[in-house]
Amino acid sequence: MNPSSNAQSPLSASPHPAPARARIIAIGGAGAEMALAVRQTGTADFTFAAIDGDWAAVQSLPFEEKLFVGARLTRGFGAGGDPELAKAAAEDELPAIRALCQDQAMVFILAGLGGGSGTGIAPVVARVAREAGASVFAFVTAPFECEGTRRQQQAAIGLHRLKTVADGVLCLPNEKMLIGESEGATLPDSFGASRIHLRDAVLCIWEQLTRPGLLNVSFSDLCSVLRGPNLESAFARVEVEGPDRAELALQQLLAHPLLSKGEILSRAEALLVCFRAGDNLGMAETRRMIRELTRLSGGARVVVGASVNPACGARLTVTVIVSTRQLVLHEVVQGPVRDGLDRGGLDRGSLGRGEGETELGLAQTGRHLTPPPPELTSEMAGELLGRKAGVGRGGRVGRGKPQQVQLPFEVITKGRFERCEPTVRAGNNLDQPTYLRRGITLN
Amino acid sequence: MFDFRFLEKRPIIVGLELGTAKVCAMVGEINAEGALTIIGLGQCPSRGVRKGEIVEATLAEEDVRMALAEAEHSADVEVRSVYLGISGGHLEGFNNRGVQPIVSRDREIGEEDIRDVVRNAKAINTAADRYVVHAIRQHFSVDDQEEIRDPKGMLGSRLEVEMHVIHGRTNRFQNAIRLVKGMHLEVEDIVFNGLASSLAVLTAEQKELGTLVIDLGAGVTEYVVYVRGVVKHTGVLAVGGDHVSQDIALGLKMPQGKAERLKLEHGGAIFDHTARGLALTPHNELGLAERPINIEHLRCVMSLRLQETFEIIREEIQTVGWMPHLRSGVVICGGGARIPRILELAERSFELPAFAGASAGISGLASALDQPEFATVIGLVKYGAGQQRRKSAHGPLQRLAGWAPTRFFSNLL
Repeated sequence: MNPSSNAQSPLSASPHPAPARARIIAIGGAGAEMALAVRQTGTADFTFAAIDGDWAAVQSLPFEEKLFVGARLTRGFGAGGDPELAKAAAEDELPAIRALCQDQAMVFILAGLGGGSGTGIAPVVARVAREAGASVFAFVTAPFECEGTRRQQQAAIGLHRLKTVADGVLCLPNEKMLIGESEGATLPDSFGASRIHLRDAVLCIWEQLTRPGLLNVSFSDLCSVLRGPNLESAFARVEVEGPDRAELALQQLLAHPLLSKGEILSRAEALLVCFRAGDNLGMAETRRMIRELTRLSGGARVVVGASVNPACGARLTVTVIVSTRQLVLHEVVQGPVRDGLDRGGLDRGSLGRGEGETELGLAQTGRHLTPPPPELTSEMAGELLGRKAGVGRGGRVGRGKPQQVQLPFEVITKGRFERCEPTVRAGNNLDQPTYLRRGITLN
Repeated sequence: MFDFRFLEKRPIIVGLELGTAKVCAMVGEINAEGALTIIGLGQCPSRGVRKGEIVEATLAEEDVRMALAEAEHSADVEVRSVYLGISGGHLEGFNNRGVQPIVSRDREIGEEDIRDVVRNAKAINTAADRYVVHAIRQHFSVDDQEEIRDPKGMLGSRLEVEMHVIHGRTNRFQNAIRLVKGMHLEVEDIVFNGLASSLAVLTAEQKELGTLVIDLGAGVTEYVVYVRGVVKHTGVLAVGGDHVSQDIALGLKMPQGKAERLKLEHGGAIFDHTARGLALTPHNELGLAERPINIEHLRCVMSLRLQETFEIIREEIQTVGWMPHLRSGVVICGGGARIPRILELAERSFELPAFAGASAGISGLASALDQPEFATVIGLVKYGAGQQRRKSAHGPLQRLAGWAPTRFFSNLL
């Protein structure tokens, strides 16, 4: 069942594979934009593929492989913001998607969550890629808050599904990237910024995995940072020069808008710190930065990577990827399973327990479980979805009921301390229970 | 025989603590030999106080009335004035230094010089809305000769004094003072609760050796460090037993009242294998079994909170550098001292011996004296007794002269 058990990933077999084959799969419009940004750097390490439900959009892309899904269900006009439809369309094309992922050591999935294609197709691709033996990292953006709660909810569900199947997910909310922008930033600027950030993240992770460094980041280290019960990750990168560059880098990181001015560090569960510099990377400055970051992040797990690149000269690049601790006691409760089609990534609870796992074990292993797609004949699926998309029937008749999802954050009532000023010490609100702040779950 | 004892006027000292869990009034009497005896106690569950500060004045006033009435009844006296204990997260302590050059010809340090240097040390730059509750003299030093208890009569050119200053928000104190004054009672003095507790539970030897006193209250946790006989550090953390109950209520999903009961009956400060897998099935009033309660979770939640509280205190004391001086260990008092195995947790957290605070050196109501939660109020009475003795030590004329300008909160109300 677990793909990594039967097909060992080529990356994990040898630490530095000669030419690791990696493919970037861009999904949907936003994904394609990000992939273009990566491509523009002129890197030759990747091959690019695009998957979209919009025929015209996918044809216009300059990528090696292009896959159009949904000929039957959407007739080439895209999923129209409905992830379920996009998901079903992707499941129609499973053999083609599998072909895209075949013989790849790694698959990077780039997508923008919240819409139809990105949210619906990305989890399917991730699952197929893992089944094909590739290691899967997904780099996704979450929608702007102004895009409405529906898109946010869709993004949350998509992210949750993606996390259950991918080796690692880096989710950067667009809203966060906006903070650094000035008031007069244009829309293209803002979207451009998120694209650049994601591009940097892809390149940084790729570099850490493939370039032999002073301090190597292993694949499992990376997974441990990018996989976990956290809702979002943060990513920041600073480039500094000069004699006291370590100090400067720390200051810039702590003022970085993507780290919420360092506040995210204090909530961190895991932290990946990558240094890249010329030959002059000093032990003292490295140690100082690591020590300071470790101190700021409390009890977080810190993974450090360092690589030396003579091309950097006197510049020092510090990249930090933070997975934030999330105050939830339970898994996100999903809405009622619709039409039997959702079972792909969602209904893990019953599946896991069916296999005789203890409840505790499920929390750790169930996450990586990839259940098989449901037994549905293509006619049944086609009928169900055709009804939903309004193909062949009048208007809005078959529209499913809106899904009710529970927001992932548990609301902590202030209870007895309702009318008191909160006791805040070192950035922690001590009125909140200690066990919640330390992320200890009572099962 | 007719009893004439009511004619002789014995000084009555009343300590009043407006706590988060209980309002407590204690009556003490100084007998003919000058020893302090506790003669009465009144208490009432507190409803209007959160985190050591009044949030509902009307409820708090009712509770104070009840407690005072009970105290008056049990001691058979009329309460006219009280020593009021105050607390809250806004209180802060720091050490300050005052300097005074000795200008007299013979360079002898006189009474006047001592008064001036203390006044200099008390001139503190605090924000306008803060009021200095205590300015406690620590040590004098004369021309770099440190640790002098009494410099009077010594020769020198420069006299310095170290003071520990405790200050807090004026408005918050006024709330409590006004409440008491509204009952036509005098407030003799306001006293920091942590200081009062330490007065009650520490012996002179412990103060000399270096001790940390932690008062684990319901609303706040106060801590006082004594080194070489004087107060070196004080602090208040607005986290207490209420937080523990709240954590339990949230973690085990039950109402606050039930969590409170569960904490008292089955709580523990240490989470280890003995709690592993323990569950408790409570029965409701009809004798039917209710949802079982996981004792393991209860202990885990409690232990984490208490551990964190100790860690915060330890970190603070480490930062100010008194940790190595605490040779006599940690003394725990307040209601929190009743938590099973709290001393063990304190020993682990501070890596020092820990003791439960027992009030020493006074006689009276035996039932009240050995209870850890009465440490504060006993301390208040003890503080009051000390003040009274000092007053009566001065002659009446001196008292009259020294009265008005040094009166404690002449500027407060």
